[in-house]
Amino acid sequence: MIDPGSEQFTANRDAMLTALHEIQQLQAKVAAGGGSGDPEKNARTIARHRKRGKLLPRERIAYLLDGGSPFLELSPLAGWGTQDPLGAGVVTGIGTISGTECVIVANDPTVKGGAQGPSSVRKGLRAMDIARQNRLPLISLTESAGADLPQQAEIFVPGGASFKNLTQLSAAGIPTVTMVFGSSTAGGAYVPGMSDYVVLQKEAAKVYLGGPPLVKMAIDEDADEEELGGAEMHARISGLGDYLAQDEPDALRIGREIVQHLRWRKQGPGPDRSPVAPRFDPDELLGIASADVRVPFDVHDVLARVLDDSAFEEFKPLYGTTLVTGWGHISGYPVGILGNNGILFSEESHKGAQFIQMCNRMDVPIIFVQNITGFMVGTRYEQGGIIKDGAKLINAVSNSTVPHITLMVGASYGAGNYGMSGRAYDPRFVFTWPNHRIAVMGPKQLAGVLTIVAKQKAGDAFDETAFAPIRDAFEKQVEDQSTALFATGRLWDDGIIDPRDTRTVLGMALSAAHSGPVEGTSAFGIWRM
Amino acid sequence: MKILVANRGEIACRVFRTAARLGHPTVAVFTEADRGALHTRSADVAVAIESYLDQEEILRAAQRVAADAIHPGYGFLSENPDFAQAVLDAGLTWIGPTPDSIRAMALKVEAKNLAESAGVPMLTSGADVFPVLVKASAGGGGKGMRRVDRPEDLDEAVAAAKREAASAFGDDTVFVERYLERARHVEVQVFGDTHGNVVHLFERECSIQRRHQKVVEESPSPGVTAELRDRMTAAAVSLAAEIGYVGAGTVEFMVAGDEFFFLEMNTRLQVEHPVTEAITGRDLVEWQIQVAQGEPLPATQAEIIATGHAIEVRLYAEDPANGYLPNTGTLRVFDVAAEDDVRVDTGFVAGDVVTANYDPMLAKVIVHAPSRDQAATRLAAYLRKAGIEGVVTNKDSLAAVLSEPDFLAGQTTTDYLDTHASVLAPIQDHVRHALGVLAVRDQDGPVAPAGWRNVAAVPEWLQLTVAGSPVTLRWMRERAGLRVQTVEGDPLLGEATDVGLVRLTPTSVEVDGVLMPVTVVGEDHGVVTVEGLTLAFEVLPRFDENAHAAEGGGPTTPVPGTVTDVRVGEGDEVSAGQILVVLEAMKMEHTITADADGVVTAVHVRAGQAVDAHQVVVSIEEV
Repeated sequence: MIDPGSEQFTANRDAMLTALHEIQQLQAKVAAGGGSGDPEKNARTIARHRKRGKLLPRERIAYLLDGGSPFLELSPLAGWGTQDPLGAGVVTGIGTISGTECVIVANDPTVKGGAQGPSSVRKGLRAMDIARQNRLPLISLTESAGADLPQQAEIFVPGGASFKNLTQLSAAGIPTVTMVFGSSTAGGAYVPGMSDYVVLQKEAAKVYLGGPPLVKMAIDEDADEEELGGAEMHARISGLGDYLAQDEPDALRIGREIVQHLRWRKQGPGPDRSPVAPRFDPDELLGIASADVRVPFDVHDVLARVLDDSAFEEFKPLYGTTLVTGWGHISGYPVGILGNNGILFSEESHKGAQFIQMCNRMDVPIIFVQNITGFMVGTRYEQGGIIKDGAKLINAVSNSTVPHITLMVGASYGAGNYGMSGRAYDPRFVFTWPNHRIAVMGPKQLAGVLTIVAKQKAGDAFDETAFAPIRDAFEKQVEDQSTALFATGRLWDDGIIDPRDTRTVLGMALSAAHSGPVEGTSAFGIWRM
Repeated sequence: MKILVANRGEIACRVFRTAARLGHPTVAVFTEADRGALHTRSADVAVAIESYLDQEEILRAAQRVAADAIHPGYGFLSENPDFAQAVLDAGLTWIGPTPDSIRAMALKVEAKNLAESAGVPMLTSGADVFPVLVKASAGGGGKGMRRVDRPEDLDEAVAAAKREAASAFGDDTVFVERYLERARHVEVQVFGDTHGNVVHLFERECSIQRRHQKVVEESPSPGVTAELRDRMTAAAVSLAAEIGYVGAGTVEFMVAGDEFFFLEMNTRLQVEHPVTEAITGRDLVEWQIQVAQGEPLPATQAEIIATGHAIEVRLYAEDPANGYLPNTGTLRVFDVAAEDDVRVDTGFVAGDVVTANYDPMLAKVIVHAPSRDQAATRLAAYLRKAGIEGVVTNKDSLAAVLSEPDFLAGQTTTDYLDTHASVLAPIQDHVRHALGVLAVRDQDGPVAPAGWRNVAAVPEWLQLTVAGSPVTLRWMRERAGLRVQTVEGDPLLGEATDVGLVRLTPTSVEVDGVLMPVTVVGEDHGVVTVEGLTLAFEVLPRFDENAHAAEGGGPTTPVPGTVTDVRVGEGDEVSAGQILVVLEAMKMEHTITADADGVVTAVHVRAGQAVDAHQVVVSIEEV
């Protein structure tokens, strides 16, 4: 039972609210635009942008979305802790346009002119993955200076995938729609070039492979920018533009019409009952999640505040008890759940593998609720076959074809990350709570291991006191590199969420997953026996 | 005597009631649109006709069911002397004044001459003193009537009045008379029989008018002293006697201070006759039938005594806050029933459709009480609780009038509604803003509430009209509800004012702790009832679909109706405010004007064409 009056609950809650406050501040900074650390400079950039009658990317999205549509912004803090601007100069997310859930990718031209750095490329490619895996139409709102040239070495090669992805989406029958509000040149010209539908804004869109200076250099032609790649030219002469928009809202209106006429039908079975709110208050999630991930908490308490009607039909409750498995509903969608209540042993691995197979048999998506410090180690467990048992769980996770959604509510350490469908295992979405920590193992353990290894190497010469600062620095480095912000900055997940929004976010993710077929498999790897 | 009522709606129902009480079989006539109407079902037998204005058809209907008499009601053929004559020629009884009396009073110009010779005080006419009223000589009910304040507007007003008069009465003669400012409209009910008796049944004051149509009527008039009453009733009786008047008639006057001037004489039963019935206890339809049967008046002047005070209001399907635009729709709820001291005359029941075909009057509600204050208070309370859903009505505006200090003080003049704008939209800002938010009520999705964001960035916005006035709202979802602002100008960049934290349930709206139950009918447009007020709302589209269209942009029709005149052609240069198209809807003339200077690039309607609301009439390229 949760005691909201307890000291631990209050401390957890305070820590969570402090972390959420920091995240909201960062998100507000991203949403304000401008991209630099200097608010005055940002204000000037935005004023200049507005003076040209232009909208900010989130305003463009607001025009595009249906009234009242939710918008799940993905990776809003991409680039945190890197040399790239916070948010990576691009907005991605899922929202409803003309009744159709779509992935939207919008350049932020107030951030380095919309130029693409390494984080922008990763964020854009991730949005395309989401569109492809979940069979969601992809809508691009394009206005970009192109490659962030000083970083061209980091992006040129991986960035090329975005054009391939566009045409592969199209080949997979997933519509791609691009609205161009400004510059979309050189490689960027292939964004409209590879899209099914192209809307160009009059006197604003510039789409060409080479701009006037390059043309002058290459073939000594004095080219006029409008004639070279203006919206009117493409709409009337080259045929690259399918629609000529008079201004930004007009382009967005046309975009809505295009999505309307797609007559898009979701292929998943959808929810099988009406949504029912949980019986327990989701607000209590703030105090349930441990601020210190070393302090365990019961995943049942989380599920009771996420699942419809707080109803959880537990499978094998008496066996392998540190891995909780069972069925429930989120916003009417049936789900199977694997949640950690401690370290994974052989029994938990067996239980998890069996449960994943059953979800595949029933075509039910799986939610992985990760709070895992790893698989059990030690002679007894190695001799008991923990590797081959863990392998069964990883086999099941890797080959399962029903949608996986991973929710990080605490620790994600070691091979536990893999067995519980970490990022590398291609879950449809990964969302994290602010208290989330991710690393090969806990910082203290890692520092301790380092110390032991160093001691073994040095033998009697090991100076415990002299090594202490090295150990501490290493521990701090691991700690800093395992935070939720560090992880989200590197696109290891699709965003940090407010725990109180968990049910809504998972519901949107499930709804998105049901845009494509929801089908399990019976084809798994060889089960090591 | 089998009585056919050549009319529809509440007046037909009202005549049937008395006829049935007296034991006379009743006959209704009905058009296809009225097949299911209350009046069609209220008679012993009903006959289908094409039009309530087709005299031959109605006579044929009378013959088919062997009716003995025809009661014309008011409007339609009630003051048509040719019809009265035709009824008599067909050997039927005409429940109304003689064709000669009707003819004498039908043309106002001639009526004025007659009245003058009977010694009734007259308003000097002439077009050199403004303001003036332009009136149709054959007119009534405000049709064809126009107030003109400046000499330069006179020609246009005369032309419009002629047009309206021609379409309404088939006679485009108009005349101009001085417009009395701050005057009262007071009329005297007279009755004559075939034995030479003429009596009056006191006065009615009908000063509270919109577009020259009465909406509140009462008796006695708070502006008429006993001495003035004596002079006015004497003048009225004298005029009726002078022309040998038979049946129910009304002599209308303008009253300013203790002076009164002849306006016109109506040779029919007036819409507002129930207030007279209330204070005198007499059934005027019963009198009409008896007089038509040749009997003497049932009472002498001395026997006719007035007690207490009666007030009638006319409930219209119209939006007072929006220029009294008629409103159409289905009366989902129509809970307007008679009570002990409240009389309701109506031709509607719940489920009926209010169309643009006929007059949008839904009901007359009449209260009789010992004093004027009591009557007003009672009637206002009745209106506030009366349930009408599905169409916008003037109910709340009427209730506001009845509670308004100037009205209660008897300060009622014909400009009352122009000078008391507060009664038109008795609605507070917080209500208006809260209502706007209702438009998002159904937007909660299956997995996320309306407007949910994981990153708070750009608000949602909503542009709509509530009770005719535009409102732009901006809102963002917070955990506790919707944080709402109103915005001037651009919905995203305009100046915002906080409304507060709004919480919605399907049956209530709460603004910063003020909880109001609401009912809403309709989605993008409809009506909403809150705090006893019923208001029309319409959510405007986020994108102006016509903004960039080469064709299709331009002025649009405000209401469904029929185009009566197209004033411009392709290629014409027009200036802002110029009349482009004239539309008749719900018996009212609406002009559609140019928003800005420009050149007409296309005309999309022609005269006689039926049009929907919001239809583009003319495309104009701005210059």
